[in-house]
Amino acid sequence: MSEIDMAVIKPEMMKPYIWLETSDGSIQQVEQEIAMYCPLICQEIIQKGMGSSKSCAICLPQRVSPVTLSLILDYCRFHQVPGRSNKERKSYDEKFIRMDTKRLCELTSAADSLQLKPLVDLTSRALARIIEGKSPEEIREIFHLPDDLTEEEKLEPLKNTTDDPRIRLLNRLYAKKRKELRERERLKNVEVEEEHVDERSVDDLLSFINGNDGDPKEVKTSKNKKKNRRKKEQQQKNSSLKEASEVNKVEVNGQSIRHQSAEADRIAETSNSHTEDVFAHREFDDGDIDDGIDPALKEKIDREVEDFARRLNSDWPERMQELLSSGQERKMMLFTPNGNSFLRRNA
Amino acid sequence: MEEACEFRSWAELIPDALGVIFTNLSLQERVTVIPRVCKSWANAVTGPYCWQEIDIKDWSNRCQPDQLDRLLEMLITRSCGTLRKLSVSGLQTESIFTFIAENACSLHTLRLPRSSMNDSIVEQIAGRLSMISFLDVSYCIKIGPYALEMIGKNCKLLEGLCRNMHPLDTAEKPHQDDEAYAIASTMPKLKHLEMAYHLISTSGVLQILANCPKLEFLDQRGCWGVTLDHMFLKQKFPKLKVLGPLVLDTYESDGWDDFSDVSDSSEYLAWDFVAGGMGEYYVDDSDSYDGMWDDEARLDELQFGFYEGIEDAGMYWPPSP
Repeated sequence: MSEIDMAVIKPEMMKPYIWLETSDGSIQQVEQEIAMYCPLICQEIIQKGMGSSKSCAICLPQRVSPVTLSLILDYCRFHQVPGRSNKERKSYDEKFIRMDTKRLCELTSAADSLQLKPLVDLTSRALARIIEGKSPEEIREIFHLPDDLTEEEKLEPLKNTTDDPRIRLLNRLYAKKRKELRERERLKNVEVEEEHVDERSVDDLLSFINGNDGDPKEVKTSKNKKKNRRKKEQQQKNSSLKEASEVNKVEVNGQSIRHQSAEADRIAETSNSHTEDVFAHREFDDGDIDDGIDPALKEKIDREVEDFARRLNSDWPERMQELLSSGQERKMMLFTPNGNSFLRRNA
Repeated sequence: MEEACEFRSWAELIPDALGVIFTNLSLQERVTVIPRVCKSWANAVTGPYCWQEIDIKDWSNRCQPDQLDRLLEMLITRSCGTLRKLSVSGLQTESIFTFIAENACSLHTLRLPRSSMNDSIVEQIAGRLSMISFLDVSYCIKIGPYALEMIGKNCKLLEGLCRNMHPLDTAEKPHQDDEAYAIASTMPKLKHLEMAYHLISTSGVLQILANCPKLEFLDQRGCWGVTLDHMFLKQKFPKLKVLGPLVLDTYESDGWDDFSDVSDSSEYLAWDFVAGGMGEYYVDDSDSYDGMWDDEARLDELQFGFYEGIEDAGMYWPPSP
């Protein structure tokens, strides 16, 4: 009995050990033949002579945590034993990769940093099986990834592989909308300037009212000239505003009549105040015109975009099915069983 | 907090680890799904790690030549000079062969079956394929012995060659050994040679066997001009595994089993798997059809029941007070 115990203990004591330090600073002892299964650790031992004592332990990469290292050593402990059949190894591998996706990811990263290719291949195939056949939204949810792509970036890949005209039209609409948004931002800046000017014009108006009796006539004259300029600007800008122009024409005619009757009583004008009034009103009118146009265009574009998005979404299941069927036969196998179960449930 | 922790662990997956994962996905998913997940995945999938091995042979059988050229240029560009394996079928334009050759500094496995390249194109590009160790030019009916000679003279590391021909292309034609002589005189390191349904004759095979001492596998199924004695082969070339000329299932099984460790042979096994999968798919499709039929019958039954209900209601209407 005692002899048997000694025999068992003796080889174990003689077996060489090495020291490994993980990123959190903890150091542990590992059988050398098992650790040597990792190419990185093997290099450290052979080329640099590290790991022979606690004071010169091998520092493992940042991505290798103690828990992950334990898993990796279990894997190495099984596979470095000679004489196991391929069937046994495959069976062990299948059990080994049954873990949650987070741990599987950590394991892939750690195995990759240790250059342990068989384990990287095993875990990456398992992760690929998780990803396969899922939509980007599903993948994002499973792997807790951020939704940090713009709409344009999400549609970019489809441009490479599909000639669907709806995709192209949707891209065009998005570009148009983006352009409109940029222009509206510019207009906001202009409006800020207008408000600033308006304040001064109010002060000037008050001074006119309090100052002279002849101001009303002078104001009328200024209005007349401003409307004339407005008419010209409208003609230059856009011919689609005919109705507005007609209304302005009527007003202009009325003003010209008053102007003629008041001509005998006109008074000299102050050039500075006149210039300021003209500028203020002009800007105000411009603001009105722009505000009138943008909502209509914006509403139209939004309606078109929503319409196409709806149509695209309604066709999406068919398109996804088409994509899947055009993929590998393997995917067809994956898709059909679900269909079967769905139909069975209905029946 | 837990979610943040999980996010951090995913962010730690550096591009080459992501690349290893993505290489296990189908081409369709790598091109259309992964780039739309998030920025880091989009960057990883457009980087070189994913595209060191490009296999679009299945996909290329179903698309137009210009689409194929554009996609191939895009994918090869993504590999950034690290392309190692390329499998694509049915290439036609001369410029795409030049493009492949210009990006072949790391290429060791090249499969171009059913391509339209001719001797002149091969002469132009062979000088850039010096790293090739496995070449598949099966069903390339426009190249001949001169092209094989140029390949042999420039690809000094060549260990595997596929020069299978389609039976319809070689039927009723006389035997020719020019290609066999080109192989024998310029490819001394060959280990794996496939020439199914080729026009080669016995003397051509003997030339190859005499000049390729490392040959381990020879597929000559359908080479009706070849008659070799098995005893002779066993004595002279004990390490050589020969298939054919007769096309027998047992031979095929033995051949693949013996070479199951070779990566190229494993690709053939993958093909067998896909074929099996297709069969299963058809069975499943039939089940789907049956299911739909059952569903339709059920709908009819529902309608009938509805009409019965109405009749019953009419019959039992209470009399007027």
